[in-house]
Amino acid sequence: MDSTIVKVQQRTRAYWFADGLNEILSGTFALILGVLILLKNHFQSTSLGEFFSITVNIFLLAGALSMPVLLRRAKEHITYPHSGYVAYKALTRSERVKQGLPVIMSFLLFVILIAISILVSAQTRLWAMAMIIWLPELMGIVAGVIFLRLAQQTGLLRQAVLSGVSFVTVVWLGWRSSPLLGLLSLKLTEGSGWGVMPAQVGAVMRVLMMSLYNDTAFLLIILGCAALISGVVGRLQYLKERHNVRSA
Amino acid sequence: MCALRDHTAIDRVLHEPARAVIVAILDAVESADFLYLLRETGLTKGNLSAHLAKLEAAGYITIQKTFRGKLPLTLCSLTPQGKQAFADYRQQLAEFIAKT
Repeated sequence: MDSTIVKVQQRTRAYWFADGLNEILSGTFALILGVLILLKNHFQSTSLGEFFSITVNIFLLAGALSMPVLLRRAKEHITYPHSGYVAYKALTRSERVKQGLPVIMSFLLFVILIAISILVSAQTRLWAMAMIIWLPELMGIVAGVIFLRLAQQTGLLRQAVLSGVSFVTVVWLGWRSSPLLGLLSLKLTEGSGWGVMPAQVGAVMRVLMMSLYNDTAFLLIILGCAALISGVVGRLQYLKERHNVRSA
Repeated sequence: MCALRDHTAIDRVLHEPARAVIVAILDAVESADFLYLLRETGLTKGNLSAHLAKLEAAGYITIQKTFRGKLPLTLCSLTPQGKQAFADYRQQLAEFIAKT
């Protein structure tokens, strides 16, 4: 009986994702954003590059603001009239603080660690510079952990697959960008952390930034495609289930 | 014998599969509408209405009838009393299974 109750509650929590609309919308957004970043990087230092740079910023801002509204509207018109409405519990202020505090503290610790690394010595400064290359991988790991937690909470296999895709992409991106570490040398990071950037350091930084943008774009494109496929599969399953309930 | 006596103290309102499922669903969310409960429980409209009425009479749920646009919307949510009763019921059930 208790396992049935647990399953029923898990299914109810998974209802938000059951129709596949979340993945379809967020996947499309990530895919377009990834392509725009890739184009921006490709046409760098041309007028077209500047156009794509502005487009990326506008698209990111507009997407972040409109996505929740768009999703709610889509569910109100497509999902709720056919399979019912569920309102989820809103987190209380203390719960929100409790959940957000570790994230904020980790981020602050990371920023402080980087700042100290730049100031302490050439050796630690080198480590701080190398961190730039691994930022997309870090984003991929965060996405993988989020999908994994969602899979545990909802019992949806699709979320577990998305988590797997995130981790595999992280490994691929890491393997792809690791040769760039060869560009970094102790000589490059000698001197004051806040001094004028020498030409050689500037050139290396440009290469690293290019790699950062490319890897971010690949991460978004791969995860966007995976989410889009997962969303379509989820949507088909949802429609099939709805049809079965209606015919029964 | 003692375990059997404990079992007689189990909440009769909740100790019915359909009502237990309804309360389990409502325990996981803030509120759910009639259509969602209908689809998830697989009950008929009349049957579900009867079970909801019993839960409401026991003070375990509240039923709010509103409109979404022009469509009627019946929202059900668990009361604090219902939440406590469900937690107690689950505990009683777990203890009974452990004893037997």
